[in-house]
Amino acid sequence: MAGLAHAGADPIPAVAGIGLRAPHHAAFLGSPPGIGWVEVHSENYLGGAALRVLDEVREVCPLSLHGVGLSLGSAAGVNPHHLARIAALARRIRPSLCSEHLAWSAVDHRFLADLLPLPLTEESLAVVCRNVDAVQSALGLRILIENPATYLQFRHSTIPEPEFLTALAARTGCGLICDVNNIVVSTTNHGWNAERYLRALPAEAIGEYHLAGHSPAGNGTPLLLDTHDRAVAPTVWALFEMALRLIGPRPTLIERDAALPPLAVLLEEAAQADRRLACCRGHTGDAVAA
Amino acid sequence: MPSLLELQRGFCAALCDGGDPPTSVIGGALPAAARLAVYRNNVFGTLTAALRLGFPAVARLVGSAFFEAAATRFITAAAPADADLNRYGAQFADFLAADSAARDLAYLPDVARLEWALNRALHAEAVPALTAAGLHAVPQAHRAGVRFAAHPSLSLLALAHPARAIWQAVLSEPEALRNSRLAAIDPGGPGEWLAVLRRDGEAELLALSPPAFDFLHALCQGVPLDAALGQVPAATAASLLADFIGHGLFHACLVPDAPGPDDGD
Repeated sequence: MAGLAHAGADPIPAVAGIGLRAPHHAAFLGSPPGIGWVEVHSENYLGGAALRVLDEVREVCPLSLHGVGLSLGSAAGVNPHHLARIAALARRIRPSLCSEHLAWSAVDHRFLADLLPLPLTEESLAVVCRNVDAVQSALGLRILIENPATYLQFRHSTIPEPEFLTALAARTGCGLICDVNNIVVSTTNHGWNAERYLRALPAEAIGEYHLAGHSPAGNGTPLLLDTHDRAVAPTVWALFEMALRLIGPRPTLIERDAALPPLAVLLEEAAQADRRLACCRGHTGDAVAA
Repeated sequence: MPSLLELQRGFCAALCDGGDPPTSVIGGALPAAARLAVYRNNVFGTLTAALRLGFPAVARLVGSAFFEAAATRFITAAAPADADLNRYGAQFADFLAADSAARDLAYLPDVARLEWALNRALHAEAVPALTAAGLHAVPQAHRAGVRFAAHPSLSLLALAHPARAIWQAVLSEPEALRNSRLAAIDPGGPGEWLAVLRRDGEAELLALSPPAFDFLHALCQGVPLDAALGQVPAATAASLLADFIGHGLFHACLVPDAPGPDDGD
């Protein structure tokens, strides 16, 4: 879609940020750390007392709004009431980045509160493109779409996931989040090749990296779960380094949603990401993407 | 091959209503049902956590196992309608009142009603409250017929059980204090008439007398001031109204329709 503004007045440079969650609000605002940017889940700030916190965070550093509830894969379309609330939030906060997921969460007015997997078919691609168009029109912004972590596949899928994301970006003009942890989780769960996945993504459309921890399902179940409850795994760091070589430096997020450690622990992980980003810039001589 | 909508309906039924996984799910090294179970755990885990966050006193009163079982039944019966989970749980109190497993805890639905009102207060739209100056700006001649709009964060609760006392006691720390406070409460004791709202970013609870509650309730229903005055003794009406406004219980006052230029015969 031509003519869409990239989000926000303050583009985020290719440095590390952290996911900011409610238990860290007081520590973060009490003594703002020198972090490049933060990302919050849009659905936690749709009104009430929490929204005031976001106004304050916005004054401290650039902010990314990461949605978890638009259900871009819903065959019946995006919930217009929810989209209007997200658009109102974006107008108020003026985020530097705005993003969502390749997933669905709602059908027949039941919201299932998880990022559910899509069959990767031409029909699904048309549905997601239509929904992304609707969101970008309502927001007046280009959004980024994140590759999912999945635990199952559908018999009738016909399009490999990175090709699906490439077509989505080409048809709608949206950008992509390369969630490195999700690539590790999904490629392990489905026996795909992680390097081949990375090489199939369109580098020019990637606007952000996500890094997080995952855990084995346990009980003899041969799956990795996208739990965001621990430090970034060595396999994820290694794939991130490969992504930096293949795709280049981008804003990079440390995500933690469960078993939250003290803020300082997340900031140290962000520093580890920053060292790799700086190293990558040193090797390639690239300017900081801005 | 199912359409996407058919697939999503089948997937939802399998997750929430215990149906079989859609036949298009590939099993492979792990049966399709086991793969689906990962998503079911996520759905019920996230929604149960959202309810526990909104109803901490209920959760503590009934214990973890009971709460999770009740939450699972509630989620199956009433999944959220949209993605704002801060607004999920409006029907939880009524569900508990009708749930046979909670039949012996007659006070539990009232504690849930109080907690839902506190949630509503915290997450309501931020709009200014009507001030005394705002009311005084209404010309004297129109003041008797003025109507009030409740502040969007306000809930009025007429409860048959001492839910506020139970709520305060069960969330007390440490445990010894909690237990002594709970032991001092008669759960069959007198009911409470409460106004719950957000003020300066915090939820606030006001205990009202039954006549004051009825007066406020009538005003919040849009009954004109002169008609609502019948609910309370004339001597106390002015000070009650000043209290309501002082606590920010109203968002606005609406002046009765003055005859406009087009309304004349």
